[in-house]
Amino acid sequence: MSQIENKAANAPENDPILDIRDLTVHYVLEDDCVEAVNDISLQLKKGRILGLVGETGAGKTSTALAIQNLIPSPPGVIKSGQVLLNGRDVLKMSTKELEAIRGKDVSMIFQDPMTSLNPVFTVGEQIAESIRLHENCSDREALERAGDMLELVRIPRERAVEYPHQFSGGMKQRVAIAIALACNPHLLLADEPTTALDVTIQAQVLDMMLDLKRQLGTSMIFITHDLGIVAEICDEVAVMYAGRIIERGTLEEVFNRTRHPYTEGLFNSIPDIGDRKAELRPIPGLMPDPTKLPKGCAFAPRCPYSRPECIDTPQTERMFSPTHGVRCSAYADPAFRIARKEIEA
Amino acid sequence: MLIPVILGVSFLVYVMMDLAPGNMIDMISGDMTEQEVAQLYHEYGYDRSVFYRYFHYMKGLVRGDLGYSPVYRQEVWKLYMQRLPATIKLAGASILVCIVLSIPLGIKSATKRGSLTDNTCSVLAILGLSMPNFWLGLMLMVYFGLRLHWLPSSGDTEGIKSLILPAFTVGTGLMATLMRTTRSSMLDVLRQDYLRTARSKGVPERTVINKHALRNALIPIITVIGNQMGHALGGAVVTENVFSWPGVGRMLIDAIRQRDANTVTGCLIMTTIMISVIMLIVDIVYAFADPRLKAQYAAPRKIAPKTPQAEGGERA
Amino acid sequence: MSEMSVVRKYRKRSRAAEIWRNFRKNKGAMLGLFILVVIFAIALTIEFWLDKDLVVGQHVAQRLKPPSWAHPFGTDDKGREMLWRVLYASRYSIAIGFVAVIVSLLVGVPLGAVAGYYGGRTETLIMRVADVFSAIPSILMAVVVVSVLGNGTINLMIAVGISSVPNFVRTTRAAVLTVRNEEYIEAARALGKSNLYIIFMHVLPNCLSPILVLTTLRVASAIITASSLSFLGLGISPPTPEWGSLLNAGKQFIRRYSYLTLFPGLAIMITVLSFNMVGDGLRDAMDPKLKR
Repeated sequence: MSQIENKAANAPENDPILDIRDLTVHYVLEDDCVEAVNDISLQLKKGRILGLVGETGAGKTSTALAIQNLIPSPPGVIKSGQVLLNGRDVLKMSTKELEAIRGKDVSMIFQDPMTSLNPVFTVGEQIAESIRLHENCSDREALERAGDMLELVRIPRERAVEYPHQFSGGMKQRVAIAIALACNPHLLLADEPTTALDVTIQAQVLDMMLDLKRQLGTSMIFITHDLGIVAEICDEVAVMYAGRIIERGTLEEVFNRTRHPYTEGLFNSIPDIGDRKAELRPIPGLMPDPTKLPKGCAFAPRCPYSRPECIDTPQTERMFSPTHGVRCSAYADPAFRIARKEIEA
Repeated sequence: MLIPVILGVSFLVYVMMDLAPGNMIDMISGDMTEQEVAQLYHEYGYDRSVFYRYFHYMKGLVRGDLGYSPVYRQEVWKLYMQRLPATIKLAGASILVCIVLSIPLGIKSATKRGSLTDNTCSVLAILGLSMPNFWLGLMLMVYFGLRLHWLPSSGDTEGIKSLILPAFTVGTGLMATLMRTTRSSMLDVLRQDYLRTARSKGVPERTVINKHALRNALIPIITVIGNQMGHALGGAVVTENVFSWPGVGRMLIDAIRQRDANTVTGCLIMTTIMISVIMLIVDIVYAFADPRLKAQYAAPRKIAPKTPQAEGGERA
Repeated sequence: MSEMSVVRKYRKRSRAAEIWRNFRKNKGAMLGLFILVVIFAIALTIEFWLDKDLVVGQHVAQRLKPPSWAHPFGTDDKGREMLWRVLYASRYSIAIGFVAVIVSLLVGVPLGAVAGYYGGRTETLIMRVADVFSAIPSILMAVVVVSVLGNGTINLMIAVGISSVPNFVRTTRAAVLTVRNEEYIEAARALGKSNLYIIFMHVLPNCLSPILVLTTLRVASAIITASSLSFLGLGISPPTPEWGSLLNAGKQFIRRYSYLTLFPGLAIMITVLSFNMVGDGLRDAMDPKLKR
């Protein structure tokens, strides 16, 4: 343990590019309060890809929006926490400072490529706008570089004068990636970028993103509910449920030495193509109502290992290695194990 | 589409003018001899049926001749052209006033939905709609023209200054519809995802609204502006009367009183054509504003020859 | 609450009650409704409690007195109290507005229904004719009709009515188009009902909401059109008071006696405003998308 700790202390290049501490985001509606993100903490080092996994409604998108401080302000409220981007707290920045870092230090691509591009401007213009905002260059230069970005995402640069509706879904998403990477940000937030695309296109886009990471060294947070994608491109994983990170660690740790019952349930839900006769094993029940979350573990009603006290006991994070953390009070008992077998690396 | 409407309008007017008591010859024949009157009757076809007169008029129309008005003793075409500039000035200025007031207010109402600004604007809009515009014209004329002597109260004699009151009068009547349309169009656009993308790029909020959102919201607004131009031309009629504005509307009312079928028909036909031309221009502007439509009208581009590297997914 | 009263409570929620409930929540619309009720009360009863001489007689001694406690709205050039003239004029303006719109309804709705229901060449013909009528600005159309028919209250009603017909044709046709393909229409046809029966008993009752809203809004605009015509000297002649002709009469004195034009115009505005608010309120109350 001490060996790993020292390394972290003495290597400034290993400073986390993103450090989220105790972030809580609620949406205050007329009668209810949706507790979207509850007390999460997360670090990401330079050049790494973190997979943020969870079902719809787990709070992943809200987390990503919070990193750019883009939570829509009525009704969203940041109740507490810090989001340190390169050491500076995004949540405390002024509007001008935020406008300076958005698109330049941290960028985001969104889930639905069909609606995330402005239909009345050419794609070249939309990319160039980002460049013009953050870099000191002429219009002509900006358009030149926009063309370069298009080529980077494997779209012929002549198409910069075309409008979004003239591109297919996969190409639109690639344009979105070009826009996001135009100013070479330190951190890229990708909110389910391939969910709306065909599987074959998905493969192309993922391929390209990996390529870009290698070329540009961009750190990424990749939000998805697809564990297959996580396995392909992520270095680290964080699993979210009901606004909490219930397990996080390196890819190897979370996949091969899974600890949390929910994560186990996710793996079990994946149909095994080798065993066609086996029954599907979905996780029974539904996600809890985000306006009425329990004090303790929100997964308890659906958890096969739950005990009566789970739902009331506040869940603290237990570290199984410097990087592998789990929130499950069952581990208070050191003998507790889930059914999923461990696979040694 | 235009032709049947023109035919219909002209026929309708001719028939109605005919049904009305008196005809234009009678109006002007005060001190003429019987013989002269009879001659005029013959010349203008009043000794024959209305259909004969109508047919005669249409024959002339096909050749581009709008007829002659014995009441004003001028060719209708000349009459119309004399008065047209004044009406266009008024209608144009009214639309300008309307746009300049409605669009910013509509945007503010949409971005601050439910606020005091929003509610005040709705009330103002409905007030503008409910006020008889000739009354507003009168009141404005009283205060600004007669009491304060800031602005002229009649005629088109002082250039821009005399245009202000009449344009404002007509413009405020048009404001309600345009403001509501702007507001609802902006509300639709403000929900769109691409605004979030823009913010995520670091685009300042004001630019997000005024460039990214507005540009999209304007598309349906353009059609409404076109419709309002038609109303501007119509609403000008009574205002021209209040402000003694030398436009087509005033002349039309006068001509109707005098049963001058040729003038009325000719002017209405011209007005119809003008409104249709305006609508056509609006359609074209609309097609340019929305790139999705522009692409349909553009000629097919030459596709650049594929270079070998572009195939497959690997790039050199 | 007993079971039966609960059931009764739920049964009572007919469409009309629901619309009323939504309408009630709109404060502006309720205010408009209140004002309209007051105006109606005045218009309907004033004949009975006001001495007509005060309205149309001559009282030269009192001429052209500005507004004061003794003469709340001032007096006109014949010495008559403007207050009574304006209030009395409400009868004419409102009557004209209503009858005009009824005329438009009686002509426009059946035409629109026929156009929408039968489609084809009938529809094209009717819509083209409606287009021709719309091509002429409504004021001018009304002016032409009045010249044909001559001055007078009834002619004014017909003139203003005719100028609104195209609106009713269009709206009715649009509403009929949405209802035409519903299944209960087919069912009625299968039962052998005649087309006319279907139109009047099935189609139109389901198109009521847009027609009702349009009616309210067109009464407002009819009142303005009627006033405009009277203002131009067509339609109602003195000494019969109508708001527009009061404005016309007051116009000549506008330099020193501007109050003569202030109050009739204000009366028009308040009445029309109320109709518009009620019409808007109705539209919002009936719009299923705005379920509160």
